[in-house]
Amino acid sequence: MTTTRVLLVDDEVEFLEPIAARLARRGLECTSVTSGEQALAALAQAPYDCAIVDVRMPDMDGLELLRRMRRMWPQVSVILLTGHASIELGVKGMELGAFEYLLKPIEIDDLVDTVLRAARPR
Amino acid sequence: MGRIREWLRRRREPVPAAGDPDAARPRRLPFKLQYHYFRELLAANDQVLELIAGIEDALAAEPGQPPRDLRAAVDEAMLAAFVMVKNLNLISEDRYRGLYDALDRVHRAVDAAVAPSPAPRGGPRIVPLAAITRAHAGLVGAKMANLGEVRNRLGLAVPDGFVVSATAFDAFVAFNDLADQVAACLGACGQSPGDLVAASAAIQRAVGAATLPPEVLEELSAAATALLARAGGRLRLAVRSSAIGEDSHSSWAGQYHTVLNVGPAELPRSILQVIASLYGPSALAYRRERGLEEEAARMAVGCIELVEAAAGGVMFTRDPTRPDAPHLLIEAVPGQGASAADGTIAPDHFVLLRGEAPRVVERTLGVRSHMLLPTPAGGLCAVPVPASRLASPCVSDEHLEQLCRTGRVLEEHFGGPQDVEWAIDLRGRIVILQTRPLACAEFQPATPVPPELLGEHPVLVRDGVTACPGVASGTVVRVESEADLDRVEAGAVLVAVHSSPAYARVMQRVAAIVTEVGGRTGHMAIVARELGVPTIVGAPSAAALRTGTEITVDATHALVLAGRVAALLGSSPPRRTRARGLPELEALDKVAPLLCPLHLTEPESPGFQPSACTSLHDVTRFAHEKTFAEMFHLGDDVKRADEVRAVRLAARLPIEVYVFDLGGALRPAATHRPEVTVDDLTSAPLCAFATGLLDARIHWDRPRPVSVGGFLSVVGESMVGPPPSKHSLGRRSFAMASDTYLNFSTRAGYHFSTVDTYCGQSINKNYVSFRFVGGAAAAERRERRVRFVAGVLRQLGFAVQTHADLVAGRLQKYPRDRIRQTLEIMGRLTLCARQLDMLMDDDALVAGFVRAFLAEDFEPFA
Amino acid sequence: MRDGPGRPYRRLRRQMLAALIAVGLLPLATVAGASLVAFQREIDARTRGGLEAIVKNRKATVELFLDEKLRQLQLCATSLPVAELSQPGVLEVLRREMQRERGGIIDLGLIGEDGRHLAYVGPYDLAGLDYRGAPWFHEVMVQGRYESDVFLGFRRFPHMVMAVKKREAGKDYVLRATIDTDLLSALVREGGLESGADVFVLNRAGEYQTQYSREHRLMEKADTGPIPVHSGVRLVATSRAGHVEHVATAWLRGHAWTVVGRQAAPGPWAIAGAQPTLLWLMALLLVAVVGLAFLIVRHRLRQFRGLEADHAALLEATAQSQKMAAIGRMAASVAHEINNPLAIIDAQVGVLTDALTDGADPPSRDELRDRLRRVAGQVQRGREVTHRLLGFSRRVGPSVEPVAVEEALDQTIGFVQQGDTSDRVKLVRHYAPEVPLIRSSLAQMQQVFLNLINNALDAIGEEGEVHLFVERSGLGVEVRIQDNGPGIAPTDLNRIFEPFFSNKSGTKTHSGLGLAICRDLMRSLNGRIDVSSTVGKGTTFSLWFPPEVPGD
Repeated sequence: MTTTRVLLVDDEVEFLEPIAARLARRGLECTSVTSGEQALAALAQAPYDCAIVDVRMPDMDGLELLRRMRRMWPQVSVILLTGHASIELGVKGMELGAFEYLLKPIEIDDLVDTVLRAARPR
Repeated sequence: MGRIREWLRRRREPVPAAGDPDAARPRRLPFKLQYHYFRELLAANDQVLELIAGIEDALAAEPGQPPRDLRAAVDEAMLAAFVMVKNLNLISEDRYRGLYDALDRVHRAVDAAVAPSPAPRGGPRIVPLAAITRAHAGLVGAKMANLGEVRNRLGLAVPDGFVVSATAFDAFVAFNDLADQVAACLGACGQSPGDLVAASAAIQRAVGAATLPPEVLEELSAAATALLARAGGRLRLAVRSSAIGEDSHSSWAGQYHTVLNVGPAELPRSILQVIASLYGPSALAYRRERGLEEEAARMAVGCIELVEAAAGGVMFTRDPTRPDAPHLLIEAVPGQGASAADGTIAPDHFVLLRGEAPRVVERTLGVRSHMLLPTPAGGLCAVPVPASRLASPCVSDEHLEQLCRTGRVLEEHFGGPQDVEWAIDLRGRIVILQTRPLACAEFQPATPVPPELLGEHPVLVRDGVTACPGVASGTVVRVESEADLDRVEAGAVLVAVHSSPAYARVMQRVAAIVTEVGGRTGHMAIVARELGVPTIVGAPSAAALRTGTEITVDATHALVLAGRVAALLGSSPPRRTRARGLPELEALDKVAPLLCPLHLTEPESPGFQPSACTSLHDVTRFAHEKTFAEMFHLGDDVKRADEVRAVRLAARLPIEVYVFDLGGALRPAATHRPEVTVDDLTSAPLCAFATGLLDARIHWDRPRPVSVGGFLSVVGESMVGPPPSKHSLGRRSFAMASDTYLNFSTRAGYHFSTVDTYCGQSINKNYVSFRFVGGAAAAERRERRVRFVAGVLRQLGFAVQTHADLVAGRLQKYPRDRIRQTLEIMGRLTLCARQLDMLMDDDALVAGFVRAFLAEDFEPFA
Repeated sequence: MRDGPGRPYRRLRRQMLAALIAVGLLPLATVAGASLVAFQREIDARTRGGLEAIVKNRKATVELFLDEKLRQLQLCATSLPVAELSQPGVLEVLRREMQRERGGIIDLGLIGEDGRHLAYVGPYDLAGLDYRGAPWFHEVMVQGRYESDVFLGFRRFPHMVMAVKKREAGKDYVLRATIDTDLLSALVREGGLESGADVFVLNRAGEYQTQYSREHRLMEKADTGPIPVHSGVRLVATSRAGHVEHVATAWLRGHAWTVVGRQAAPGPWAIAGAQPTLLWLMALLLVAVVGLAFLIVRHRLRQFRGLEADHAALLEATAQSQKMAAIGRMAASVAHEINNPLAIIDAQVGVLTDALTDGADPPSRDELRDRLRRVAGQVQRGREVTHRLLGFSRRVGPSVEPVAVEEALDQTIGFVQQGDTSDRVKLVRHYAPEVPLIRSSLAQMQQVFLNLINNALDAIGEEGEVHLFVERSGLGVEVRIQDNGPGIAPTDLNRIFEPFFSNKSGTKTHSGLGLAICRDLMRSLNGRIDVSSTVGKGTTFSLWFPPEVPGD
């Protein structure tokens, strides 16, 4: 286990591509998917240390994905990353077992820090 | 939101090298990371306390002073509290998940309070009257909801009809993109009445040019068709405003339009007319004065069958000026009652004794020449009153008595005096058109005017009726038309022939109102009562009052006197403060109990649980307390190799101090001892601060000469507020220190103070921040202490802010020596201020204490 | 600042000055006017009073004079017998006696029944004259006395004759005297001298009997017009040669003569003479008012300038704070919509920064271009958000876009056929080539199509055809929807656009609002909708869409 594997889940492709590129440059192995369903499929195929999940997504939203992930892959930490600051979503997310609740836009170093913290095995 | 980002940005610390296979992964977070979360939490704690204090400030503020943006303040406090809860859980590895629930609970409650019932948007677009009860006020407006209640719950006769609901209004606004236009018009609108009139005209034009959305038109047509069928093929309608929120808090009497005698084909146009009246100048001014949000102004429109009335009018189930009297007032006009409310026709006036057997005790016939009847072409026309009806009352005694009984039923059902609009149809049946709560004056015993005053000041008018009691004096301004209203200056007495709802526009600034015609049940009188403007109506001799004359209006006795009668003015109760009705303040009242009070005070008690947190203050207090416990493993004997443990500072102090070495705060030899002495300290700021704390001149251990007043005050507050803890005076304080940094927080009793400082070689990085919160004793004593602390800090060159009983000061960019000196004084201040409020009996003492402290005379503090 | 407010201030200054002076002068003028009127009335009344007095007085004087002469004549006639009277020298004595009393007696004669002089004394030789045929002789014989008008007679100078009858021993005699009317003229003239009134005596025929100015030509007709007979003094105001004058008249000698007093009514300038101090006072006040107005205006304008500056500052502050408040409120709701594009921009910029910082593999031109394009795209997205929510941009109607009308119509037909898949209904398309694209609201346009096609389908029932035409018309596009249904009666044709009007029947519920909505929608698209129909043949709705709808 030499690299931290990160699953990026966001319905905005425009956001996924550059963020993945930046994380990759910082030594993280990134996989990008654009929906909750794709994320679940990806998790079923390969192991991940951590997932960065957008909260607002069509169909399955970030909280629902989080809920399923906690049930099926509890070892994968989930970092919620959203453009919408809401106590309600924050509380719900943290209660559901998210590792962190972060706001877009975020400094890449902060994101890397959080990913690395989250990727420690529990 | 910016704060969150800031908070996110602040977290910059070295991270264990990624993917280092040899790094032994600690079970817990590394201490430095914990410490990072901890500081973030402390900052958030400060922020919450500051916001809570700010809200307490707003509560104590003079009524009428607009509170700052409550919503933003609450949001900020919530986010900060969220950070605290989250960080506590991060530090403790999720041991306090229950606190999320507590926060969520508080958040929901606060949200509900701040956004007062964001009226459940949705529901049918058209609602038949048969389906409406009082519970639908949010959908169909209070006016129509009440009418539905009268029909469906009380079974009284009301006209048939349906309501174009607020949902339809929303659809209309969305379909025509009106919200932006309204915002733009009002955004560009200045303060002068003329500007408001112009803005109103622009909005009303936009509304007039708009169209109802097709789906509303479809349903409207279906409803109208059904109504037409029920009415037997001939249908004339009254299209009435029923604004959402109308009549529930404030009676928006007469602000809005009613179109009478409308045929089905003109229905859409009439509905638009009524909707447009939501943006009439009076209504806009009214909302502005009341601080009601423009976005929240919505209008349902009642479309009810027009009652062809033999007579109609208004009934007050109580005399609004004397609600304790056993009287019921009825005003009636022949034909359509429309004019009784707008004051253009002098109504017949009846006073009934409300009892089991109602009895007419007073009747005054109005002098009138015309009455209003519907015309086949739509609208109303004034026709001469038949001579046979001129001399007799337009309502028979039987009808009056029946009305009186109906009024009592309504009053009982709605639980308070009612203002009822009624009509008697051509078949002699009483039909209720509208009922709403009646604004009553508070009861004032009428003291007769001292005769010696009357001799000096001739009585100019004594033939009027009190519409709203009170006394005011001012210069007469005669108003002949609405255009004249712009000339009415603040403090003038408005004198007019007719009473008119349009005067609401200037009611805030007039001293009093006198009209020659008009009843006290008119719309204007209602609004006047609500605003507490002394008002006399129906005073024909007021015709002699000329613009520019100074008069005194004693509305309580329905007298107008020449000149300014100072003696009368003094006796009048103060004019009602407008602020009482401000929704912002109401929201503040609702929100403060959810944010401010502290219920959790005793960490040792079994009740110190997340589930016991009922206010935001509780949540933060809990998080704060537990964070300290988690950070420093208090009571936890298991030692871990990687952990930094707190060491006790052995010194003669009223508080137990634990020192946390963040690096270079202690001699290396001392770091593993359970106790250290002052001599072991190597942290520059801590040394300086400890020197102050240990100043031998402050005799904190001597029994205090507590003044009796001060003692009683503490006892009193303790009985009201949280009980004192037995630990409260000797609790642990923590000093987190490095060679150049110190964070010292002490919680003693109700006080909580923090010193946060950096004291190094670089002037630009150096700072001292001092915060002081809380304390038992009555508000004024606390306030004196706040003034004491603030006074000292200011003298020392701090930038100081105070909110309620919180003092925050910051001093920065000074050389190291100056910082050390200041810290020493802070140490002494921490001791001296602890129980100071016990001694502060007198405002004058504050300055003395400040002087004594700065002169290092500590006798008064012993 | 110096130039800007100058102009409005000059105007304001003019207006204020005008207003103040007007306000100051108004009472002044009122007082002046009122006193003028009062004075005029007063003077007028005085003039009339004076005139009346003169006339009354002259009447008395003339009466007195003539009565006296008559009495003297009668005295002579009664006191002396004819025998004595006819004695030479007696008449001479009498004449001298009468002459002494105010004079005026020119001659005196005693005439017998036969009309011949029994005795005569005077400057003329009248001895041979026979008066028997003269009317006056006859009258005196009947009446007992006689007074003539003034005439020139044989003597060629103005005189009058006065005669009384004397009866003695059954015989009648006449004592006659000629009276010099110069004296009468002098007596009458005397009255008008001091008041400036013109006083004269006229006979019944309106001829001058007295004369003292050139204007009065004795025996000639005066220009007073006929004077009605009346008692006492009569005062009238008449207009003569453009001037108002007062005329007072009184009849005398038993309505034989009239005394006339005539005086011009005093003009406004009469007052100037009467009240010079008042004039001076007015002038002084006028100067004071104007001067004061100038002073007040100067002072007020100075104050205004100060106030206006304060007010402008206040307004600016208010406007600013309102703007900030509005923006603040909106910003809160906008923030999360902005955060997403910001996050993307941040990430894209970050990728490029990373690449440049690393230096290991610099971005290719294509990558650079691509990423910048994406950044620009997100900036555009952010801009849309802010424009929508902050810009207060007024969207009059729904969004306007380029529309191909045929496609819009085809799509609408698609909806219709989804609902009704049966192929019995025939929709026939007649689309002209090269129909221009127009800028309009697709949604609203389709709503109109949908309504009209549905109506047409309802109209044709089970079998029938609907023809759809699209062609260029002017700069815009015309669409016709034609059915071969039963048509609409001419009486209904102009009502079909009214809300709630419906000529459909059957089980389908509908409101009759469809066409009303179509009309409203077409109006909001700046287009036109027209209908033509023939009963039994069908109905055609014509729609015209303009090339462009002003939108956002």
